Amino acid sequence: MSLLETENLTKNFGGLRALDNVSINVKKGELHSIIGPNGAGKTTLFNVISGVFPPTSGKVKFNGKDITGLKPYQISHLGIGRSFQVISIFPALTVLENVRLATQSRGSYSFNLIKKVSDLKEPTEKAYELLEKVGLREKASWKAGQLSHGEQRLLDIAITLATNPILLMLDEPTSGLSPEETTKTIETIRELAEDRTILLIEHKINVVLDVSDVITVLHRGCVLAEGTPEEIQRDVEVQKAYLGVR
Amino acid sequence: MSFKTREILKENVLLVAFIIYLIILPFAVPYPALATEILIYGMLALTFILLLGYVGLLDFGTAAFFAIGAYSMGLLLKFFHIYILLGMFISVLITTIFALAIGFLCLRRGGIYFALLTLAFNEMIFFIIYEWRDLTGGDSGLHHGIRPDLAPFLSLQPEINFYFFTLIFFVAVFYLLLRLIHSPFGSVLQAIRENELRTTVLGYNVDRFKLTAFVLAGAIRGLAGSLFAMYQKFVGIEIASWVTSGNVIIMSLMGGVGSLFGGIVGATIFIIASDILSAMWERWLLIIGIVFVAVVLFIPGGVWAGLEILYNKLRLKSFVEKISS
Repeated sequence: MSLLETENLTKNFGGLRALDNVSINVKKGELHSIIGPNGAGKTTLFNVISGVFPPTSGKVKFNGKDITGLKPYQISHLGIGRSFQVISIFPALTVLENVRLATQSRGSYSFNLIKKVSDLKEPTEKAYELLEKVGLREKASWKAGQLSHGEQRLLDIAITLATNPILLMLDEPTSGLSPEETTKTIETIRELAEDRTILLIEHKINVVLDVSDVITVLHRGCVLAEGTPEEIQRDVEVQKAYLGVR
Repeated sequence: MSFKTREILKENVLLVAFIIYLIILPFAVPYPALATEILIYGMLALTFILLLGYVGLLDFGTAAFFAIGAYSMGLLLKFFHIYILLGMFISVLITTIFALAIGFLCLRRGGIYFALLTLAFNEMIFFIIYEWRDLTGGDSGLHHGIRPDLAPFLSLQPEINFYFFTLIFFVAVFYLLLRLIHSPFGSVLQAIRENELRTTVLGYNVDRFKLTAFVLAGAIRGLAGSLFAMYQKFVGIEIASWVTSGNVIIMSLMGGVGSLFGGIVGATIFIIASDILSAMWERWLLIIGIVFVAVVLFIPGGVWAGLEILYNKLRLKSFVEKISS
């Protein structure tokens, strides 16, 4: 059953064609990876799907519903969560507040001007739970900007998870991480894949081949190939453009 | 004493000190009316700090809403001899409507564009006031001369009375903003300042939050304006000028935009300095300018941040002495 579908998505930035008739299909429960060289259009694809900017032409469908052109905050409420290639947190706020912002976004808390945010029981508890999960519980009152790079990545993941998305879009979640941290993150992603659909952008080929159900290869904005890890590895075009011809 | 208890105590001591400060202010300054002016400009500084320090929006249009509030009140007093609280309410309402319209137009862009748009609208309001001479008196100002009584036996003519009347509104505004900052709404505003893209992706309608903050700021500025109209018993066009907006920015930056207390600190310093210095030397603005540059260069968080650093240094010193004794 298809959870996310794009139909002939094209995105032009002036004269630059970043996406060229990209059609992908992400089935429910799948771990679907997008790979391709730098500039292939992977992050642009994410941006269009999550509503950061609209496509020049084409459609995005989520659960059968046309979501093309919706604003990011609307798409978030449909159950799509997304992380960014460059760590995207709230540096001057505490670690707890970072996650709580995400947990309190569901529910009608936000226009409450009177309550103390620390009195919001459910969002605060959920935030602590998530911090526990990623191992940042002890640093809850630290300012997020004071965390190490690896810790900030974990915080980023915690924030993305906090909105409990059905479709989790991860943009290079292991970028900048050490081998040990990478392994840990991949484990976490594998766990998450058990009850969620994941769309993953990754550069580490061994990670992608190991963890994905389906891989789509983008090259210069076009879909070069799509298939299982084995099929992709054998694909001559992909080898030429991306993996390097043997 | 645990960390949390110490924090709560510190907060309460601060608030108590603040209240004491506000009560003795009219007696500590050269004349009580100056204290009223500090409160009114303090309110303006608070709105600027809300927008810049907490939402991250740089606003050059404080004066526009200040003036709309003041002229509304002045006209209501002049033509209708309106009851004071009703007049203030209507002035705030009028200003809020303008803030909604102007905010909607300015917030379509962010960053520097927003700042320039607010400046443009500020100038527009200034020129409307200037040209509509029949209504506003143009650059001669609106001479209504009225400071109404609060009630048959409660005259606000004595400056000290008017100070405490203004104080009620100042404290209400301060308290409201304090609650707001610590509320869920306030945390979203700060998130917008820190990382607007992430905030929107988390599911927040960022535009609506920014507009709400802007309109709230506008309403408070209208309130300050209505008080000012009665404080001076006259409304001069200079309060609509970008210079007034600039003064609010200077006093906020001097005081420190990171905290609401910075607003009152900045307003106090600026108003007292301008009153005392302007009597001594006609180039007094030069001194203000030098102090401003010095603060921005050496204590970017403003005087308030400087006081916090000093406080921490002293506490550290006494702590070190304690453990080494």
